[in-house]
Amino acid sequence: MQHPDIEALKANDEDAFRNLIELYGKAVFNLCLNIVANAEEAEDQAQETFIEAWNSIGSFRQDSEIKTWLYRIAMNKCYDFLRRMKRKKRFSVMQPLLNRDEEPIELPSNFQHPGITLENKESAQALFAALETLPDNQQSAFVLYEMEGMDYRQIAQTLDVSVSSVEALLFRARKELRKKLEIFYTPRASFKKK
Amino acid sequence: MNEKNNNSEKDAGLKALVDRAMHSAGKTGKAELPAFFTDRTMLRIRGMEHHRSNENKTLAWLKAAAVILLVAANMYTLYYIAGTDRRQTQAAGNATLNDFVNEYHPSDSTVVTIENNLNDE
Repeated sequence: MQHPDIEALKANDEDAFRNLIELYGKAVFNLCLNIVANAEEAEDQAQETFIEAWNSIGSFRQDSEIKTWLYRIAMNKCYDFLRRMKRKKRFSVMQPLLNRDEEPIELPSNFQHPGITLENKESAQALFAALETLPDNQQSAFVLYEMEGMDYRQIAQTLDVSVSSVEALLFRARKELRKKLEIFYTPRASFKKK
Repeated sequence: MNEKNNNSEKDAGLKALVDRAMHSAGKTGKAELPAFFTDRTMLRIRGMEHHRSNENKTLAWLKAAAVILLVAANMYTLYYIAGTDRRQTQAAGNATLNDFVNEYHPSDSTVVTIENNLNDE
């Protein structure tokens, strides 16, 4: 696999950019998929990521790997997209009145994740719905660790935080997810018992 | 006793459901990139660049047209001012006694006196 030629990328060389997409397209697409949980939207956000990279490659300082830089752009794009979707769903005047912690999780109607097997679909759908209600940084830490398989150091670099912050974010994310999932499953568990 | 057993079974069932959901994160496989992803992304980039260059061209033309319009308007104003001054000077130089009468409406005796004075000169 060829390494991306940063100087050619900075000169907006189309071949170099095509090579960059071929190198990291799949990774960026899968990250988007693990955040937005819909293949079509993930493709759109992955394309937006590369368009943004084309526009702002001049500002890439090379103090991190280009993959890390692309991941940061992709996460920002996906969270912006999710925020826009949420804003559309709710009345804007009601938003400040709703406490995020009390917010019940709703199963996404457009869940379409090709990386999830049919037997895991229901539980994964509940997990993705719970993930959506977490703060962005907790959600990012969880997705990068559990789904992308990154280690603490790589996550720290991607999120631009310390390793101990990553540990704290992951701890809080897991705790919060369990709480949300318990609330979500409680009526089902009691129903099953009856 | 029975109720206690029921509750612990319910808790175990709930825990199993939550654990299953939590573990599903690790079971997420890598999806393949959609077909022609690279080509479609490059197409969007080219389209954006084309749109941007068209926008820049239009903006440049608009700027040039605005400058030309401003210069023309300023030149017209300057010519107009210069022309008005000339006309006013000429008009002042060719003034007759009738113009004076029309402007100030003096009495007949004053007009006669002025005419006499002019004739004397």
